[in-house]
Amino acid sequence: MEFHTTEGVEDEAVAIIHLKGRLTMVSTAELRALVTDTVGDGRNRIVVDLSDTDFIDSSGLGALIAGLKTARQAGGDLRIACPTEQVEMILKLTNLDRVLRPYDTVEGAVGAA
Amino acid sequence: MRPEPLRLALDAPARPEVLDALHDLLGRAWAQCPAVTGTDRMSVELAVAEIAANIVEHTAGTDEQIDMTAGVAVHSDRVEVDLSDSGDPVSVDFAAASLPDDELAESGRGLALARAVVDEVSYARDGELNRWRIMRRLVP
Repeated sequence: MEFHTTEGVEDEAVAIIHLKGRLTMVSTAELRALVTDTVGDGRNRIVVDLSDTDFIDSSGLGALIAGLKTARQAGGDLRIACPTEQVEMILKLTNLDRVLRPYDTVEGAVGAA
Repeated sequence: MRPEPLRLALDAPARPEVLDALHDLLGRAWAQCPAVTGTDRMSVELAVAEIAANIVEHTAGTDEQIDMTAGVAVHSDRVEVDLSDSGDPVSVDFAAASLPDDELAESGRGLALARAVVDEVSYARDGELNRWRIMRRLVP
């Protein structure tokens, strides 16, 4: 999986983490560390862009939830945007679409962050 | 005359990298079986990923190398994936697997997810091997 981070166009204080590839146990440690570092840099509002995320399993969901908790503990939040069909499927199966609440666009998620 | 199922197989150490190898193996199967729908593909991939991750987690921390094999069979009406590993026997109860009560739990969803997306997921001990079977009937 590849990660890169950008800033929200509408709000530079929001960090956007773009995930490309599969989010499984192979890549979850890196995502957790990236969120921790981003929050540590003072950026506690995070949007995770899933438009290029081919696949997420339960480990990947666990890492997103861990990121959500890290952001909230720092007074911020984490939102997910542009879920692919596979991501939507797993969110619905686990009822985590209520907890992680996907946004259709990155801009929408940034605006609400 | 029933056509022969497509069969693919793989052998690899039970380490996290095997998850990518399994995805690639299934990708090769789908490329040769275009009639398998997107929902069927995603469902099989998810169940296989969850069982394989379970195997990797349960065999981590042992000194000896644990090996895994995977066999995929795409029939006209179903997909079967058989995984086996050379680790110690495990205790698993798929019937009792359910999502954790805590919405913010970071783990514990894998087996319940596997059960939810395919028609059969089972475990059996066979001599020195753990055997895992996944079967999903294909939407006609």
